[in-house]
Amino acid sequence: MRVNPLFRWILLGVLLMLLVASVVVTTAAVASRTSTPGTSSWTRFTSALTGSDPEQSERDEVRDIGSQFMLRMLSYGPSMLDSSGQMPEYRKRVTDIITSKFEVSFNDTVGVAEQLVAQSGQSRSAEVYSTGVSAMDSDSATVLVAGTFTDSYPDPSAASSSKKSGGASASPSASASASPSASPSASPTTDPSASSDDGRVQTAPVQFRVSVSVVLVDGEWKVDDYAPVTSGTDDSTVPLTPGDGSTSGSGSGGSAGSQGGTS
Amino acid sequence: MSTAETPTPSWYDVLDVEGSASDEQIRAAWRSGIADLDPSDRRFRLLNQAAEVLLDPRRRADHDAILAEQERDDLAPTAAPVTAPTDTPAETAGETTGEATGEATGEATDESKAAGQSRRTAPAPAIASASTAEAKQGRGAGLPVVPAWAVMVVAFLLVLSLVPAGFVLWHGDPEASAQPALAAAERAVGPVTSYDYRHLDEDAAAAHTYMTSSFAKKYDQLFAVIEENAPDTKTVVGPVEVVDSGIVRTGDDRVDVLLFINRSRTNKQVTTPDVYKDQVTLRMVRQDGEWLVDDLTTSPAS
Repeated sequence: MRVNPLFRWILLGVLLMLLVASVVVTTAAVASRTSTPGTSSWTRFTSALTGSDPEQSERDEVRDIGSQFMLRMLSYGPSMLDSSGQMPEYRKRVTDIITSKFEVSFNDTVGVAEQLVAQSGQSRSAEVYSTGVSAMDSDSATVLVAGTFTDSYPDPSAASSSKKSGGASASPSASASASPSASPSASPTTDPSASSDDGRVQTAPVQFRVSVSVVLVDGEWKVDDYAPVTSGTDDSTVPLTPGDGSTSGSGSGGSAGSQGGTS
Repeated sequence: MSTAETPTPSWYDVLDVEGSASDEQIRAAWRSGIADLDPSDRRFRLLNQAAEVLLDPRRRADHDAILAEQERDDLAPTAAPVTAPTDTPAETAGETTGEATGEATGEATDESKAAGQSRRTAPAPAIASASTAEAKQGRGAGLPVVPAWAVMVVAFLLVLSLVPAGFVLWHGDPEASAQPALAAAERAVGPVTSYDYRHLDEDAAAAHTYMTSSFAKKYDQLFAVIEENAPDTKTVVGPVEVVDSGIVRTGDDRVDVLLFINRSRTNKQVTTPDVYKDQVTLRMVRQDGEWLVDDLTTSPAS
């Protein structure tokens, strides 16, 4: 069969145009893909190809570190005290996930919690309900964390009936007011329905809503700071520190939140 | 002798007229040419063909273009000579042309003498009659032939490039949904989580515009309880202030958004607004290009 040179040139031209168009479309789609600032082109391309979402993976990581931080910060008790009146295990659990800069301010305030625990036998536990990322780039992020913490104290009635009190008979209200940073308007109230089977009395859960700042240090996300989330009209601005019972709650409905519509 | 080695006569040569001859001159030459011929004579047919081509302006223009190209090919030593598509019509035409020129030649002009040399050889009027095909062949003749392997390589690269293009376009961009969904959640949370005992129906209708139909059913069940109690308690929940918000997770056409909201509440007994500081997670889904609330989660204690 005779070869028509013109036909082959036309065919080659069309194929080249389609090839260029295909490359341009792929490049444009990858370049326009939403991603965390600082993401490499190769990561963008592979994630576009596989449908993976590296941003969501990062988001899950920072949410987890924010949640872990609040749980560790708000979980301690007399069982952690050593002979010197410190809680070394508590300190280590928290400092493992915070930056060295933040560790300085943490060490300044952890003594309050240790003192409170030693004097009143206070125990604190927390629950995280939700986390979300309000801002994120390649090496820093801001995580919103919402939850509650609950304090418990040795039951005064159990302590007074037993003459072997270990000095942990302080009343909850006295304990709260002993904290140097406690806010009277938000001191925890004793929940009369709290179980005393273990000789302890629990306070009503206190809600917290915080914003946790995290940074990437040597490939690992670490907490660099945190603060309560308030609006411009909020009257409670005391930061949440170990041993401090004041958070953003106000009014009887402030504890544990409420579902839309019913209150 | 092959036609590739000899110059080919033109229809002008067959009628023995110049290239610039008018239609009248061509007719005259045709009449004089066929005057002594029998209609069954092949020369009669050849002269008719020549007249047909030269008296048709379009076909004459095509023929002139072919002649010009032949002239260029003759000047270019590497140019391939235009040959007759088949031998049989050329040979037949050659015989008849040879005879016809022998009889029809009158007083020859310089141009005719030059053309006459080609008349003694195997002519190719068939070339003119097949002008379109030959012209097309001729147009590409000067181009170098692209190797088949080059075309195959480019075709292969094209197929290779279409695969990632297809995947990239198919997967889409889940993160592109994040900010629009978050903005929609901030707009929706107020109407969905507030009400006023004085206009409950309007509040419910307004809330419905921000929800999917499936979530609206759950909302209606809850709102039925409010409708029973709120008029008696004179409860007003709202306004709602969004204090902060963040993304929990993104997905194709679905985004979970966490909102910290402050809601004021008053009722018959509490006339000074109490501020409730809540956290709400809204599941936003995209329907018909719009982000709607498909689920709502708040603190377990509620």
